[in-house]
Order: sequence, then C-alpha cells, then structure tokens
Amino acid sequence: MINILKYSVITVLIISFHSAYGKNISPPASKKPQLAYVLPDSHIPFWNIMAKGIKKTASQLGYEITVYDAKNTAKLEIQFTAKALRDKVSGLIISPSNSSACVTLLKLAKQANIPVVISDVGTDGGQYVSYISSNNEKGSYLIGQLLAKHLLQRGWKDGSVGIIAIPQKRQNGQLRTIGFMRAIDQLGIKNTNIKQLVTWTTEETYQYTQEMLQQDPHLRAIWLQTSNIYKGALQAIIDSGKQDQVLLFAFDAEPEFLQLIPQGVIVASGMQQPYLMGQTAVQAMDNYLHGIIPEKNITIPILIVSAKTIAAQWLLIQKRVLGFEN
Amino acid sequence: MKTNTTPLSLYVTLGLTILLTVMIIMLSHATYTYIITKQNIIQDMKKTSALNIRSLEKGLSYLIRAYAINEYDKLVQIEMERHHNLAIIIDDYYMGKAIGKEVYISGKIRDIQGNIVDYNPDDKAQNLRLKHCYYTDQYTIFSSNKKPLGTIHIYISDDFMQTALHKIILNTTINALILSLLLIISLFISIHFFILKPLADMMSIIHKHNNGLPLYPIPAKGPKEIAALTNTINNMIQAITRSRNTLEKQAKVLQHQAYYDALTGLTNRHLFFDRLVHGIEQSKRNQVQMALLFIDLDNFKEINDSLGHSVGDKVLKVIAERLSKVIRKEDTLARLGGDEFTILISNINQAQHASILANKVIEVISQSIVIDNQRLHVGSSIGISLYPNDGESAQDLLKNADAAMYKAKHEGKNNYQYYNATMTALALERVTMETHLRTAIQNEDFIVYYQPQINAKYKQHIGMEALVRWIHPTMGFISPAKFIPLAESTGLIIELDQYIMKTAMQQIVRWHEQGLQPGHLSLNLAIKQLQQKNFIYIIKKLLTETHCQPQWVELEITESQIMTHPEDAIKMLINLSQLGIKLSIDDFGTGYSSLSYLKKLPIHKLKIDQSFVRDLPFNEEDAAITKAVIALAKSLKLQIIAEGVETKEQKTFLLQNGCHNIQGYYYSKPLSAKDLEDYLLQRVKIS
Repeated sequence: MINILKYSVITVLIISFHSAYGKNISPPASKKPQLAYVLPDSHIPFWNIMAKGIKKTASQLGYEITVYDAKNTAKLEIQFTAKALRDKVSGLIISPSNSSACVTLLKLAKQANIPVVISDVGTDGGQYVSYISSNNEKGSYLIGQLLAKHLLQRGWKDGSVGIIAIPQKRQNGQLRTIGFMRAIDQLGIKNTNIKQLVTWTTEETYQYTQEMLQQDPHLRAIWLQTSNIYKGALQAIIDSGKQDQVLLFAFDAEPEFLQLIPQGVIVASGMQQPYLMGQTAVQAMDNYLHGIIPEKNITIPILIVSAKTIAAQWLLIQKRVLGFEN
Repeated sequence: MKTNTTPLSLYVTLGLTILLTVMIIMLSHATYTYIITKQNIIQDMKKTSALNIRSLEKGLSYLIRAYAINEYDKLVQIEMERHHNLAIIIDDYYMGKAIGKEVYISGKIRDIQGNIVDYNPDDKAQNLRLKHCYYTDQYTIFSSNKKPLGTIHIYISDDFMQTALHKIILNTTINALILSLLLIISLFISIHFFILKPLADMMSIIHKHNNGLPLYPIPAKGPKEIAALTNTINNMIQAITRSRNTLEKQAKVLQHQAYYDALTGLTNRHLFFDRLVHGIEQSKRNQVQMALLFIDLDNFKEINDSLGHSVGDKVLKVIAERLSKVIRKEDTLARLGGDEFTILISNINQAQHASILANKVIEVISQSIVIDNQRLHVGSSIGISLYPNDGESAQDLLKNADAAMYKAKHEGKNNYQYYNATMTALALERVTMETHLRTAIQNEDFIVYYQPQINAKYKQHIGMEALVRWIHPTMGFISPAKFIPLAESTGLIIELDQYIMKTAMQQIVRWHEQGLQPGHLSLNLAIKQLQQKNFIYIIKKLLTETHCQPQWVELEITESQIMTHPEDAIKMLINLSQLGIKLSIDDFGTGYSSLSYLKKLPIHKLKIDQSFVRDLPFNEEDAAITKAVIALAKSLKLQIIAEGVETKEQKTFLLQNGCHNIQGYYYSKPLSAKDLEDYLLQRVKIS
C-alpha cells in the first residue's frame, strides 16, 4: 500500500513538472483535470506575475492549466471564457477586465455548471467559489499614513496631496482611494486634486502630474495608485524642478523600485502580492474541487515598502510581488 | 282584482330614486372610466414600449458592441423598474457570435410576485408567462453600418392593467356607495327640514282643530313651494269656511223652513206636531190638562179669490201677528197651512181657560184689516180639543179640534166649539161624502136639471140654466150647497163641471134635433175651470164631440172668478167669445166688480143675484141695487136677467124696471131633461 502511494505521488509530480512547461500551448490530451485562467492583459506585469503563481501552484497540485490573455478586449475575454467552458474545464480562474464584465462571465460559467474563482478586480454579481483580492483599503490606509508622516516630518503640514487614481469604477480603485483618504484626513493632510487614469500611459501620468503641480503650488506629494507608469509622474516632477519639494508615492511594484525606493526617488509603495494571489486562487479552486468549501472572500495583505523596510522585505518582494521564482 | 297597496313614504321613494340614479350615474361613470383607463393603459403600454425601446436603443448599440452584457442588463433592469413591463429581453448577435451561438439571449422578467429576475431562456414557466403576455413589441438594433446588432423584445402583461381596472371598479363602487349614502343622507335631511317638517307643522296645525278646518290661516313657512302650498291651502280653507258658513246659513234657513211657516214665521205643522207630542208627554207626566185650538178663518177664501193671493198672504201675516200677541210665551202658535192656525195651551186648570183664549182670538181676528187701502173683514171658527178628555194622542187631539172647528163653522162662524163625540161623526160624514162624490163622478150618478129662462114681457122661452142634482142611491137627494163646496175644495169640481157641460150639450143638441127650440144653454163655470190653461181646448173638444153649436151655449162666470186674475180672465173670455160662445156675469152685484174691467169684457148679459131679488120689491137697498144693475146693463148695452124670482111682485118689479128675462120658481123650478122636454113640447104645441 505504501509503495502504491509512493508511485502515485511520483507520477503526479512528473506530470506536474511536465505541465509546468506546457503553458500557453494547447494541452495534450491527458486525464489531468484541467483549469483555465483568463487574464485581462498580459502586457501588465501584475497579471503575468499572478499567472505565474497560478501556473506554478496548478502544476504542483496536478492540474493542466491553460492561460488565456484577453488582451484588454471584452470580446476576447468572453470568447476565451466560452472556449474554456466548451472545453469543459474543471475550474475557471478569472481576473476580469472589470467587475461588470465578470458578471457575464460568471453567468456563462453558471450555465455551463463550471466553478469560478475570481482573482482580483472582483465582480458586480453572480455566483463564484471564492474571490481573491488584495487588502487594498488597508494597504492604502497604511501608505496614506506613511505619506502623511513624511510630510509632517518635513514640516509640510499645510502641503497638499494629489492623487492619480486608477479607474474608480473598479472596486480596487475605490478601496485604495477610501483607505488613503481616511489616513491623510486623520493626520490633517489635504487632498486638493484627484485624476483618474484612462489610457494608462506614461504620457497620461506626466500630464496629470504636471497639471497638479501647476494648479496647486502647495502640492507636496503625489500618490500614484499604480506602478508601471510611474515614470511619467517622476519626469513631470523633475521637469518642474520640484524633486526636492514634491514626494512621489506609488502602489504596486516594478523591478526598478528595488533601487528607486532606497534612493528615495519613490518614497514608498504599497505593494500587492500577485504571485501569492495566484497561488491562493488555485488553492481555493483545488479545495472546492475536492469538496472543501473555501472562504468566499480571501484577502491578501499589501506590503508597505519604504527605504526603511525594503531590506527586510527583500525576499518576499522578489517572489510574491515580482514573481521571481528562483 | 283590486288590491289595496300602501303608498311608499316620500323618504323611501326619493331614497330609492336617488340610489338608483346615483348607481346608474356611477355605473356609467365607472364603465366610461374603465374603458378610457383601459385605452389609456394600452396606450401607456405602447408608449412604454416605445420609451423602452428609445431608452435602450441608444445604450444598447454601444454596449452590445462592447460586449458589456451586464451593463445592458443593468439598463434593462432600470427600464423594468421604471415601467410596468413583464419582460425586456435582448437578442445579442455579437455576444452570440462570441460564444459560438447564433444569438445570446439575456434580459429581465418579473416573477409571479412581481420581482425582477434574470431571464433564463430555458425556464419554461418564464416562457409561458411571456407567451400569455398582453402586449409585445420588438425592435432591431443596427450598427452605424446598418449591421444588425441585436433585437429588443418588450413584453407587457395585463396584470398592471387588471390591477388598475380592479382598483377603478373598487374605487368607483366605494365612491358610489359613499356618494349615494351622502346624497341620501343629505336628501333625507333636506326633505325632512324643507318638505316634511313644514308639511308636518302644517298638518299639526290642521289636526289641532277637531273639524279639521283651522280657524286662522296657517303660517307660510319653509321653501317657496311649501309656502305656496300653504297659501293655497289657506285659500282653500277660506273658501271652505265661506262655503261652510253659507251652508250653515242655508241649513239654518232650511231648518227654519222645515219647522216654521215661511209666510208668517210661525211654527209649521211639523214642528207643531212635535210640540204637541211633547206637550202630551209633559201633561201626562204632570197630570195636567192641555187644550188645542184649531182656528180656521171665515171668508178668507173669498178674499183670496177676489183680491188675490198677495192680499190673502198679507191678511194671514196680520192675523199671525195678532195671534202672537194674545198667547202666553209657553203656548205654541202654528199655521198648519192655508187659513188654518192652531194654538197649543199647556198646563190649564180648567177648560174655560181655552174659552177665554178662544174669545180673544175671535176678537182680534174679527178686527178689520187694512191692506192696500182696503178695509177687510175676516172671522174665525175655532175648534177646541182637550187633553186628556178628547184624546191622548196628537193625531186624535188634532183631528178632534178640526172636527170641532167644522162644527163651529157650521154653527155660523165667528164662534168656537168644544169637541164632543158627535163631531167625530160629522167629520166622518164629510170624509164619507168626499168618497161618495168621487164614486158618483166615476159612475156618472149626477143628474142635470134645467131651469127655464123666460122673457116675461113676451112670455117667451129663451133658454135654460143647467143645474146639477145628485141623488145618491142610499142617501137620496143631496143638496148642491152640500157637495159643491166639497167638490170645489177637493178639486173634483173640474170633472163634475165637464160632466155637466157634456151632458147638457148632448141634451141641447138632441132638443134642437127634435125641433123643440130649447133656446140657449147656460152653464156655470167654476173658477178652477177658468184657471185651466187648456180650458179653451176642452170646450172645443166638447163642442166637437157633442155637435153643439157655440152660439147655443152661454157660460156664466161670477164676478169673483173674473177679479181673481182679471187679465188672464179677460184673455180667456175673449177666446171663448171668439168661439161664438156667449158670456154672462153670474151673481152680479155680490162681488167687487171693477167697472173698468167690466167694460173690457166680451160679455153680453148680467145676471142679478137672487140675494137682491129675494126681498124685492120691499127692501129698498135691494131694489136700488137691482135698479142700478139694470141701468148699468142698459148703459153698457148688455142683456140682463134676474134669477131666484119666485113671486109675482118680484116679476112685476123687474119688468117695470126693465129686466124682462126671468129665471126662478115663479115660472118653473129646475126640471129633469124629460120634464123639460115635455115643457118644451107643450110650448111648441101652444105656439
């Protein structure tokens, strides 16, 4: 009996190993249970890191996983979801393009009687197994506290803060703004401007930052609710000659943050852990498929990274935030 | 079959009318509202459908292309919430294509509870509801390049309409009931205060009076119509009151006429009889005597006949006044009719008390009466009956007093007689006589006698007077003085005279036919005949039937007959004269002939009454009157004859004074037809 178990484990591991290299390719016919993951846009590192965590864990748990990139189009998102459902996957993990679109995807899955785990973004309705999300509200609150403290330490009590926000229609965007505002309000820092990203481009970030700096001479900090387009904001501050007068805070992480934060170019960032979120999503689906009902809402904490803390958080940031598996 | 039904009260009648009217109005209104509301709801449905489509069309085009199914589901949800759709379903061709189907169907539908839920194309119950919806509409959405993107299906059920319509019906019913109730209550209150109360007040005022006729006008309260009704009733009451007063007066008059004599104002026969009955009862109870005086006026008939009824009536009134003054208050004076009066004297101690009063009565009546400047004299005959000696009943007392009165009259008038049993026999005889008279007329038991009339100067027979004689089979000869007045008083005189005329005319015709030269036939004319309007016709008929020539006939009329109604008498006599009949005035000198009338009369002869002839030639007054009458006749160129001539001296006086025509026992007593025929035959032989 023990021998049988040993062989079985070895077989599973072999299969898992093999499948880890089969990603983005149509899975060969096998008896492994299949999972599918539909991500909104592979150009955004966040989703790739999450996909890494999903694929890694699925592989470890013996699933064949197919990852579909919706390329930021609703049509592809629906088409891939429909395809996965037609393929009769065992479970579907989705990171929807928006919470509204997720409702439709959930409806299709329900009609096909296939369980769904939502990883980030959230949904406006529908039935799902579990929703994995960052603790955006708390993370933003903490980054807000940190920002306020920095201003106070610098004697910029009357200085104001500008926010370049991700779309507020998104639930995660709303939570970030709420948590941040609560923190700075508590510490008496004013918010004078908030601009919402539309094109998600460096140019857009640059333009928004420039406008804020021009409109508010008392601006002492800008909080960018994302990471990948930080350069636009940074360049605008530099161009305005206020790099010593205006602090830049961010959310999420880019690899270069590991240098920019210690240098003080970016004072701090609240970093989500996409890799860990992916891992957690697959784990929840696995539990469900094995009859264990996972928690309906699973919240992953935000790492608050500043020059002071980055050294201690280095390994966690490497894997869970940036998805470096080795 | 007639059935008695109690009329409905005004409350119930008006209540039912109003209830029915309101119900009809509300039903009409509800029906109208129902139809209009239904039409409006249907229009609203279509409008809603159009609005749904317009509202969805704009967003859906973009959202379908953006594969934003949840977003357009939200739009559909909002539309569903805004309107009363059963379902809005979207056929999404884009989404269908994306998931490998022809169409992706999505939308919202209301469940039975009205909750908006997702539409599931595989749900049979949902599809059944859609199938039975009231109204559907659909619209295809096109892209800018006219490519169909999807179809909007609008489903509207009639649930809302039914609910709305049921609500209308319920509301209308409740409104109708409330309105009816309010109207009925207000109507009842109005009726009570504005109609029934004023009417009840009016009725209570009327009912206060026992006879149902208020003494005073009813106050005109309430609305105009009720006030008008009150005024009308007041007018009616006034009219009824006036009418009642008039009727009461008339009733009093009638009552008075029923119990009192219209001419004299005295108690009449009816009331007198009552008083007599009452007096008998009282006398019986008190054990006292009572006397009844029956008064009949003497010579009153002559006044009435000669001077007319108006004079007679005035005489009666004077006498009534005089009698009223001689009786006590407790006595009763009555006029029974004609010239008959009665006096009831109650509570007398002795019969002589009646005599005292009777003497007073005779005295006051016998006093002269001046009417129209004429001094008149009447007497009275009084019969007295006493209670209880002469009868214990009213009828007996009256009958016996009447009998006593006849006795008094028989005794020479202007006296009174107490009743005794023999008077009853006389009265009985009188009644028997009347019966016999009637029978005799029917049986033609009368015999006509003829008394010749002679021209004494030339000793020639000139004619005869027909005189009636009655020889009763058992009673023998009955004097004309006895039955003529009876015949006159009973009216039998007309039949009797006609019989005499007819018999005499037949006889004179026979004598003429025999060549006996009977001369003219004088016939006495009774006043009642003269008063017959068809008397001329009767005479003509008799002449025709008997073939008697008018010139053979001479009718004798007394002065009083003419003077009763002179104008009528003159007309009648002229008519008779025109027939060829000769006319003479009988008993001339005893009446009150007016010479002016005498001049107008178509008479050819005067007959000197035997009362003037009887004492000729020794009585100077009679002789003077006789001479005057003869002179008058000559001056008027009238013939003249004297009747009742019995002696040679009488004949001689008459001849000497120019009256050549003689009738009387001197020449011949009245003869039977046979004897007269012998008389005529003898005269014919002599001549």
